[in-house]
Amino acid sequence: MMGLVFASIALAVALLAVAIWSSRRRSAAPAPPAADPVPTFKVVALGSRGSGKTLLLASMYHQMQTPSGRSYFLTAPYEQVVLLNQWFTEVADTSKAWPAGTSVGETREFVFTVRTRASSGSLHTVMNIGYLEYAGGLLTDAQAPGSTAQAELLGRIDSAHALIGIIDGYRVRQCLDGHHEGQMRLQQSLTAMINLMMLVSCPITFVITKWDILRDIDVDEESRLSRVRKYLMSNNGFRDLVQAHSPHRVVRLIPVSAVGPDFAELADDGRIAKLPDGEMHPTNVDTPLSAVVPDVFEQIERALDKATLRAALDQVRRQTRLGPVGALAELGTFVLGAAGKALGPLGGQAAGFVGDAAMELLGTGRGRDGDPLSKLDRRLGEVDRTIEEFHLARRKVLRDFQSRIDVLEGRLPSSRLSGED
Amino acid sequence: MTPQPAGWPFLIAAGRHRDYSILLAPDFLVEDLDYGFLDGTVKPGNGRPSVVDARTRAGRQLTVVSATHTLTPADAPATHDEHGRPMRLLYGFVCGERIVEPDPVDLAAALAVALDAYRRFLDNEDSPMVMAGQPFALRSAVIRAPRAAAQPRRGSRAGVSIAGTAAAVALAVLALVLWLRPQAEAPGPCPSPTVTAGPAAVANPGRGNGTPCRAP
Repeated sequence: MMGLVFASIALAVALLAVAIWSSRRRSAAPAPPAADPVPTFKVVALGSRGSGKTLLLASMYHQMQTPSGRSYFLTAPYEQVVLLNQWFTEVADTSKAWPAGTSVGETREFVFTVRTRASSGSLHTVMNIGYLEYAGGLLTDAQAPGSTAQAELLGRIDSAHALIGIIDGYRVRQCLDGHHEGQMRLQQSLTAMINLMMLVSCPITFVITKWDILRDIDVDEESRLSRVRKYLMSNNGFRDLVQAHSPHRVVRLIPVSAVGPDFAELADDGRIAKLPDGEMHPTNVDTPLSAVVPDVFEQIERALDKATLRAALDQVRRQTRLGPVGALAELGTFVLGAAGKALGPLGGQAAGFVGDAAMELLGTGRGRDGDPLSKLDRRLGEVDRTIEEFHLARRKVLRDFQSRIDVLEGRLPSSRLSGED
Repeated sequence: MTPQPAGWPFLIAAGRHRDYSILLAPDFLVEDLDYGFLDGTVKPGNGRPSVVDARTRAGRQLTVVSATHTLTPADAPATHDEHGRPMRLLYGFVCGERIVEPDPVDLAAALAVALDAYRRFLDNEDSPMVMAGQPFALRSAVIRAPRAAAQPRRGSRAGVSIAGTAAAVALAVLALVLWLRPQAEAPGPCPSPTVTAGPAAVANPGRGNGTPCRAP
């Protein structure tokens, strides 16, 4: 009897040990293949119904799917490419009406991959951009009981790296023409956006859509933008938002037209009508996405203590055992840690990207021969050619992003908002 | 004789300036404020009706049959919104049973109710109300078998194996304690088990001639 009891105890203990071991083994099992090290920047465009979010998205992808003078281009999962092309074709067809609006059930995230072709001809993936497409009414209308769509949208806004505030140019035009309906709708849209934007800590780009129907409000583009900016800044909520954010992060105002100046016009009934022989020549549609990374890094630079950054760079320079690639990753890790929420969701896998971006976009490192970053840059040429080519290609794209923003600010100084107006 | 299955009409649509919202929903869902799931479930179609199994916030398992109708001048005086975009009705019906193949007659019946609701909405677009859709007898073929229970989560296996083994050990230890303990006095009589009867679970009945929708 006693032997039987001891045998059952031994069996039970052995079983327990095996179960615990198996459980621990399962939890400590090797992770699935390393996560894709390409970082994804999440962008949410806030805009009310009919403001032109979907059209902007379709036109933006259409223009950016080929380099067209840029060092980069976008790709997307094929089913999304099909959808975007379908929307664009529907817009471009002057015999058809504008596409129907987006319903709540059509909310989806588009994932664009920024790619570049190096001088050797090989293709490199630089980063991903997640772009949320949703029904504008989610921002302005009360939701049905039990619907989770609005809560999900608010969660996306909270975790976004950058926000794009869509201001309907048609409403602006109505306001400038003194239409009460336009004033009411613009105010409704601004109120919804401002309420959410006051809480965020990421860069904000306001985009004025349908810029083509504002083409006759002044003589040149800068004068037109200046006039619209003045009008928007006369709105208390908008001005307060710009004053609250602009000392800490970039706030832009970019005029865009998804169709360009030769495609549609304001009809007598006040609606925007396609011209029978209209041709699409989109303007500035690539700029909002190009601004995302430079603006995130400008915000980081503003928040970083210069002396601390320089000390970190010196430390990276001394750590020769890491090699140039390791040193870049170390710099990236430092910036990731210092950036806090601005880069937080990218995760540690993005250290290499952040290191390259810090080299290219942070003022401390940009174009300064003889400083630690430039030395690192030169040493990078000594490592494996493939890695070198990848880093150089990636940094060329980052430089191109910055250059497009610099050109925009040079051409349209009013596109940079500050609280001093 | 098996009762005929019932469907409840619904409508999601945008107005001339108001964005998409639920304008008509099954009466029992309106009463329980449980119709919001339709927003995320119903998507514009490509010409063919869509059949989707869905779960409401309150846990009801329902089948949603939907189709898209682009407004024509015969339906309403205005067919385009203020931005010049065609106005679409996302309409259909909800059923407590699985639908094998939606019958066009059922969709036509749902569209007739939806159009009526939509016209009323256009008359007062700024103060929209969700109308309660009444059940109608379906001609679509349905599957009456109960819906499958949710699959257990895979992550619980380790817990089960540990718990089972722990129980074995506990039993073994208990056996040891029982074997080692001093001889006890003769046990007293066991107390009689007491069973308290409570109210039996009752399925939430459907309304009208509809199908019961049971909360989990």
